[in-house]
Amino acid sequence: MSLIINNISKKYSNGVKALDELSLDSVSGMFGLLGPNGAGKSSLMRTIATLQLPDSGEIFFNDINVLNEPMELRKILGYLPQDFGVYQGESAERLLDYFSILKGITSKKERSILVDQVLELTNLYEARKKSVSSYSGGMKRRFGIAQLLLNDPKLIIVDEPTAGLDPAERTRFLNVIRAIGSVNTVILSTHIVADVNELCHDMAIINKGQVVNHLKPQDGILQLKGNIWGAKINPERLPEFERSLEVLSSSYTPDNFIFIRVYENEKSKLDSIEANWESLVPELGDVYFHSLKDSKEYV
Amino acid sequence: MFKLEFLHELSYWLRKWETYFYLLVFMGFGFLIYAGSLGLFDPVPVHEEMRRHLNSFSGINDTLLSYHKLLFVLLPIFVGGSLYKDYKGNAHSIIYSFPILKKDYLLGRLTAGFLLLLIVSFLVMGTFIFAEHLPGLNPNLLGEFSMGAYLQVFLVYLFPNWLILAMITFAVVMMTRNIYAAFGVVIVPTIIQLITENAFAGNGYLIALFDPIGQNTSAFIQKDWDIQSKNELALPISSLVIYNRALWLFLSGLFFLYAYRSFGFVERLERSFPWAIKQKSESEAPRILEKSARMVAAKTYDFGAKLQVIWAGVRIGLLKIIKSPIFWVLTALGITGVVFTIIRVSTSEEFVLVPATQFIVGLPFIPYSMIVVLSTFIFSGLIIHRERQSQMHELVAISPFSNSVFLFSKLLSLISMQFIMLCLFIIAGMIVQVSLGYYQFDLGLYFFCVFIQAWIPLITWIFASVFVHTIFRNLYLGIFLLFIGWIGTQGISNLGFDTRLIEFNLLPNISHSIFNGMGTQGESYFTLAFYSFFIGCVLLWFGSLFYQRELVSSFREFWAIGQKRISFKSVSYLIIAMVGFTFSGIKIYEAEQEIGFANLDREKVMKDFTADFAQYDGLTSPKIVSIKASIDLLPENRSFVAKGQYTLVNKSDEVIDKLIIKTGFDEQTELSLEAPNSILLENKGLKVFLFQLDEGLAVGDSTTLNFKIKSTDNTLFERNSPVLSNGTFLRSDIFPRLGYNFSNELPDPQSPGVEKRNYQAIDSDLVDLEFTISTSPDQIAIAPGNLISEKILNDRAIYQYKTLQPIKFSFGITSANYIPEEFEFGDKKVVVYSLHKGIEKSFVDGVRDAIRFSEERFTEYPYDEIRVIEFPLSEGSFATVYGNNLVLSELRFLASPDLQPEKIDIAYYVAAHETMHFWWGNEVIPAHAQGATMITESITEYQMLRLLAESQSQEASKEFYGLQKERYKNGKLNLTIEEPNLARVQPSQQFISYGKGAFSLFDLSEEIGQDAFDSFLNDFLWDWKGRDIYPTSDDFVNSLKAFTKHELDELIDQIFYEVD
Repeated sequence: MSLIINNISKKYSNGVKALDELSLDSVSGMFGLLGPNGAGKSSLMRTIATLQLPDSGEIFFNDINVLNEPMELRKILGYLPQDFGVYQGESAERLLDYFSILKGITSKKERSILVDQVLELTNLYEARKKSVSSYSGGMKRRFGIAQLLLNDPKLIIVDEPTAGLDPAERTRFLNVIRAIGSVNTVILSTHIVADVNELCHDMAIINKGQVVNHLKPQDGILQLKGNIWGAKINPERLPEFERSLEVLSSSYTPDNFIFIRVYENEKSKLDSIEANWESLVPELGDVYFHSLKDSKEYV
Repeated sequence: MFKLEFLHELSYWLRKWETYFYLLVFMGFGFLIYAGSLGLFDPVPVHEEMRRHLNSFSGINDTLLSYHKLLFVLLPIFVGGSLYKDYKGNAHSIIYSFPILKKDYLLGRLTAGFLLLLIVSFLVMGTFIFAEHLPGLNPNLLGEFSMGAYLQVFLVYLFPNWLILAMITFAVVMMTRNIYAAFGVVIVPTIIQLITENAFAGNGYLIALFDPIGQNTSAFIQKDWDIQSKNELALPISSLVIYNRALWLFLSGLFFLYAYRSFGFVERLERSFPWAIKQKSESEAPRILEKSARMVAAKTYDFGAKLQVIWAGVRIGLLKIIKSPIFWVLTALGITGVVFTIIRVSTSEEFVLVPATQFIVGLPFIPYSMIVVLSTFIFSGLIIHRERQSQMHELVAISPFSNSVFLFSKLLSLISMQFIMLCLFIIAGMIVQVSLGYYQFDLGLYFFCVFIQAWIPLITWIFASVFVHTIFRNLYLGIFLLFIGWIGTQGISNLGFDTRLIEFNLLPNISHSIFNGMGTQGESYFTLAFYSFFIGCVLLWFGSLFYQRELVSSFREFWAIGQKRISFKSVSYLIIAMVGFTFSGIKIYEAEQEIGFANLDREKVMKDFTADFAQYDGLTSPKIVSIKASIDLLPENRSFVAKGQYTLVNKSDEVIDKLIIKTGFDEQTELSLEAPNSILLENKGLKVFLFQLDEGLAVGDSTTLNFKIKSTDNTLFERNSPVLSNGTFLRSDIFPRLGYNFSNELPDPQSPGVEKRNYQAIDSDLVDLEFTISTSPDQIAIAPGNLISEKILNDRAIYQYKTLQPIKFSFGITSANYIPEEFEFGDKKVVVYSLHKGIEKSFVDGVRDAIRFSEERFTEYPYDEIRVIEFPLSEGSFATVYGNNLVLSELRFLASPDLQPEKIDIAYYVAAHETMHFWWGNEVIPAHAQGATMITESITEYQMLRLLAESQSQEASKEFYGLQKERYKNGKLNLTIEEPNLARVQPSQQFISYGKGAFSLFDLSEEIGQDAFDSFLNDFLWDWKGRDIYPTSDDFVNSLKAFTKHELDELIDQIFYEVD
């Protein structure tokens, strides 16, 4: 089960080119889609989920031509948008029953069991009679997962699922995703590198509507081995470092210095700049930022 | 901060193109309506006559207040929208965290919206001012331009109205945080008017006081004004106006203040009911689920699954609607309107009518159906945009069911909403019936009228609404366009378009008859209804092409999706709708092309006729002295054939060698004069012939005219045949008539020769009638005179009638499946031929008392048998008398003397009034001149006052007296021409002949003394009875002056020749 995307483009009426000849192949298993805000992740998610039409390109999931046979994909699709609402005053139980009807489950008995199961799975069973519009952010996200599980989807698309969740809720949420992603294709779109790090076996980094890197997280980390350096510097010197080196990230230390992470494959170049350089173990974040810098289009 | 909020809000609206669109629409509409009313699109009239000036203080006031009812649709847009847009965009939670004061925030928004409304009002007034300065207007409708008139209506009415309604609208949005509720406010003033007009019927002051927009208030302060006053006077700002304005400003201010105090910069959390959750949870057995063994449910996408999706959508959509307070507020307002209208009309003034079902499904349903239409406009927006507004559209959109399934589900939700509203109407109607002590529910009629007749156009509005809301995703714009389209459709014929083909969903109001239901109008109604329905289907088809759950980023994409959806299957739906549309359209078109009077160029026909025939105006004709005819009525195919013969006598003092004969307009008539003749002139348009007799008819000589008359078939829109399947009512206008008489108005009593022609038939004095009528065997045919024979022959019922003494040439022939009932008093018999039952006693009492009362004063009543005959409402709502036949509309059979015994029994009144016409209309027949109905109706109504005092009580008489005064005052209010005096009253001015005549003669009789006045009337009757010349109103006045020995000349002149 894999997804293939060929040269998808999408330009909005305001002139923004959200997707620009974007292609991805062999998308399967837990797949992470990383990119900064406005990179085109949500546009791509919605396009794959048949919610909007691209201007050009093709998408295939197994033998389904997604753009020509959207209804066929929808039969096996689970989708959790970045932001969603629900009808006011409707309980989770009733809404899930409604969604299961919309997904083609006609047996009332089966719906009832299924709804209970997904509520259990997402730890919402106790709150099943409460109005979903009164749920907390985390509960609402879990409700989103519950609804996408109803039709036993083969392709699951989750768009920025952990945005705004507290750490405990995030962990709970990722566990659910991990459980369901073991046998399905799950596309996880996020700008939080840690989510991909924890979950995904394969990933793509997109920016400006294009794929800037498609790789396995561990491969990316390996590729950077020996090239990631760190130093604690005075904040006033940061512009100087940014001008001469590829600074991937920076963060304040408790003593009000800045710790920078730098990609450099020539140690000699580092030596020309006065700092206490130390070699660091690469992280997925370094892969992400390095890919964006490498695309030379990151702003 | 207030200034910032205000300016920000104002600039927000001024930057939107929709604002200018709304403005242009209202200015354009205003221009067309006002300039059209001023005659811009009509030819300029040659004659100068006194008409009401539309640009007077009174005229401007009425026009602007009426027009502003349309503008109320801007309230939710500008005022409601100024607050709601924060909720819609979820911006409120951010704004509420700003250091802004509640009063600055709210008042800034309200003031900006309010100012926009004032700007619209000003610009509309500017359009009116421009229109009244255009060339080519009707000068009779225009007075001097007065800026003061505009300023006054703005300051006294429009400004406060906007303020009152803006505060209410804003408060509604503050409290509900819902824009739909604000749209409901649009119709609230009209409904309150409807309720107060019915609740306070008879008390104009209270109606005026409680009118939220002051329309009835300004009408009340002009109630005693004649046209001249309305043209010249400024509207006074009386205490009533001040109280009215202050009352509504106070009430709306109070409501606003309450909402303002309740409002807080807080998020509204949804309330849940923990007790309910707990109870349910505890009551259910705990479930043990193995997370690892999750069930995989079977999925199907067949027809059954689609039905489930549809039903689930309907359930959720319908619940959304019926949980909405605005649904119940609108429905409750509609029901209240229905209840008050039923009570008002059934107990109109002093008369009481039973709340029969046929009556409830008529007038009271009209305002209620308006509520249903408005609800459809509002809730179709809610239903179409439901997922998007809940931000749930992406979850729903990925369902593998097609858009058509979802669209159908939404349609069904709206249809279900209408079904609930219609059921509530029926329930309300039945509750009112029970509360008024009436239990004869006609469930079949309720079902037919509400769920078949009315629902088709209502469903058509659903289709149109779905189309508009699908194409225009801006909710405000969608509702606005629907509202304007709805109102615009009703005014389209005023713009000179004279075909039903462009009247979308504009259907005639049809009354139902116990005789034949919708009668001949049923076919045309349903043809028009289905014509619009098919247009609605076409609109729906377009809507379905563009209805989109998915996201669309540009109009090009939107259009491309629509094009892509055009398939063989979808086009086949369109073809079906188009076939229906074309078929019904052709049917309407062909029917409109049928030559009938409605389609004739009336001006040309009259011009041609006048050019040829005007020279024969005043031509002496012989008089008809007897009619013998056989009439075959064929109710099953709604036709008749009549053969007959007139005997004509030259009663003039000159030889007659030319004869004008006019035949029935709708019938095909063959004429054959006994005397040798030739046709000199013929006008086919009006079916008038001028015969030249070879040998003149000498003075006193007689001849015969034979005729054969055939009815013409009915067309879709024109009823040519008077025959109905049940309840036929043929009148004398189907027969040939003699002489030149083509003016609708009666001549002055002083015109030469008027005394030679009687008011109701210029070509005859009294005539002998003999009719043989055949009809269906299940029907009884009735004509004036005595029944000579009746038999069944060849499956036809045959009745023969003959008058034993001559009567006026004014008669009717009826045929229906009557169930006659006989009642006797003294040596006389009253037979009631009716389908409605229950009030026969009142009729009999009325006849009996009127005969007794009049015989005591005047001559004897000659007939032994008096018939009271019911005819269908489609033939009219009047009552009249033909010889011994009292012929009454079924409306008069809906009287209910038992429901409110203290009120005047209309059945008794009608029977007595018509019976007394034997003396005042038959024994004395007035001349063919103005003031004729003073002799017939005024005297009869005066007699009625005296009869009520005698047979019932002085109080009843006093009530009737007050009623006549009220009738006269109300009639004056609606007068658009100069009021004539009582001696010059025209037949159509019943408020003068009945109202003023009755109380004026009563006052006069009090002055003279009742006995003396009765004595005078008796003398007058004997002076004129049985003569071939007829009295005018001036003869009556002169006789009266002579009787009173000229002592009361001044008073008499004042009563008969002056106007109050």
